[in-house]
Amino acid sequence: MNQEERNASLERVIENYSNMLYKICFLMLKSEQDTKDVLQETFLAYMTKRPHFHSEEHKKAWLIKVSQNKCREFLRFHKMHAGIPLDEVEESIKITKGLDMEDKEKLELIWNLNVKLKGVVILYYVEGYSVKEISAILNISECAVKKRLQRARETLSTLGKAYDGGVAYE
Amino acid sequence: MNKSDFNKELFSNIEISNRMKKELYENCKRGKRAGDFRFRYAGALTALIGVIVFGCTGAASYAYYQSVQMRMEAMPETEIHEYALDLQNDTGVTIDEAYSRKLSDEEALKVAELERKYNAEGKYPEGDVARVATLAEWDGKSVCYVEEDHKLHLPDNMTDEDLLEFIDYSTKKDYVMEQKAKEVADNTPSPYVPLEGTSEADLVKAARPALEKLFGKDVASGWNTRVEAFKPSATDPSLGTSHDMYFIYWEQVGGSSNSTDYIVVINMDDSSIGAVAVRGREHFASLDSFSDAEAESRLKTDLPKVLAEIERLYGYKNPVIEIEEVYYDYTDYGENDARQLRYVFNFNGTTVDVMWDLGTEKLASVEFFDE
Repeated sequence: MNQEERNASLERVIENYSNMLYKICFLMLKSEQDTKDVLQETFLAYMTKRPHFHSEEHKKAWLIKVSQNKCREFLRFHKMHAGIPLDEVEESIKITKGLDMEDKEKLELIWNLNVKLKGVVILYYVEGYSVKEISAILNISECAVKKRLQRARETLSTLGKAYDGGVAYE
Repeated sequence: MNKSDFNKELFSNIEISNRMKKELYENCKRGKRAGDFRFRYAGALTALIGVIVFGCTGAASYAYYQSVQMRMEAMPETEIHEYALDLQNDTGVTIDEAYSRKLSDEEALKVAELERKYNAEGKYPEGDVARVATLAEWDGKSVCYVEEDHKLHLPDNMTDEDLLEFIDYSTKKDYVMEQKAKEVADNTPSPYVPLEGTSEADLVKAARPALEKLFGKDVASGWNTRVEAFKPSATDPSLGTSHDMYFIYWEQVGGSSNSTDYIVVINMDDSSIGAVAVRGREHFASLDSFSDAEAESRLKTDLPKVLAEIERLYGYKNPVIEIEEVYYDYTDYGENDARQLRYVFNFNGTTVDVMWDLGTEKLASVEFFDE
């Protein structure tokens, strides 16, 4: 692949996946600038490592995996964004625009989840991955995925009782 | 809660702007790293702040400070300007990508040895790294900076003089980088604070048993010690004190960031041990290398040995395994050059993150996190 083809491939991958990665990483990092940094590191890894993918799904999973690892490294090093409340971020980005009060409260609950739990919740509920797929993406055992999902449900339920139907274990 | 119950609309307003997409594309196309300062200069900045706050402790550190510092300060303005330009044009993603090829293990070990002589004994190169405009002008036999591709080109066989020129180039570039970092450090509240209510000697004494427990009785015997108090809550109390910690280092005389060193982390809150590790490119270069397939298969076969070692040393058993992966060094040596495994275990609320050296079958680091 020559430079021109590599750039075209990069442009495509940013077009196709940046929004999905942005959503996931932003919820983890709670900061637009940090999210941008992590995305840049992720796409740079895509450019420089040039991994071979069996399918688009494989590519998507690889990008999520790399970005999650970058988020983890970032949080481990900085550890300072865990306490940023939603309201504070709202000042710069209107992420609850159009949401009613109940939905805003739900978002706030997820926002405040422990980072480990949140990562699994986003992949499971938002991206629709199965427990087995999340286990492969995050490099954690299926047992750990299930445990985190369970704890997330418990936490969300305990904190807010905001979900209709409460906790339904799968 | 089923998947269908989950309202994905909650996240509909979290979306990337076109401006950011464009910026990402332009930056990645040029190979530019994210948040240049934070990612690339963080180490140098930290080291510099350490020097500013604590001064230099130990005779060897002082010798380093005097000898090398004088050499750096003697650089003419034109040379400083050249290094500043190199830094500006440096688009390498990893440190090694700033060079035409990665250093071999033998060269990395030799560099670490010569760096100690450079720093502690004043052993400097006779010449300087050559500079040429285009790759065609390089003779292929000497260490040379090529302005055309902004890379330091290394000959196939490097003599001690070549390696010393390489070290000199890197040290001077780091110095120029540190000067830039200092401008920021001067205006940034530092999370590194002077020691209060304890002494360097007390902290070394408290940390030594943890070091010996993992690495043996005479580890780093006679090496210099250095202590840092990292207290992010001092600059931002809302962070809480759970990340406030002391770093206790054992460093070789004249050692650099490439050299093997040991670190013990003590949490300020309760004086518990946060981490114990051996680090450095020199250590990494000394490890045996394995193919990716071999390393992958070792994830399962070495697991009982890792667990037995953790139980023997720290008494933890029956964990939930959260992560097991082949770990590639940050310098990313690429395919079929695996040297370490990483496991993250959860022992009933205590997370233990360990690195396991494949060749020696020993723990290289342990980190403890309480939930």
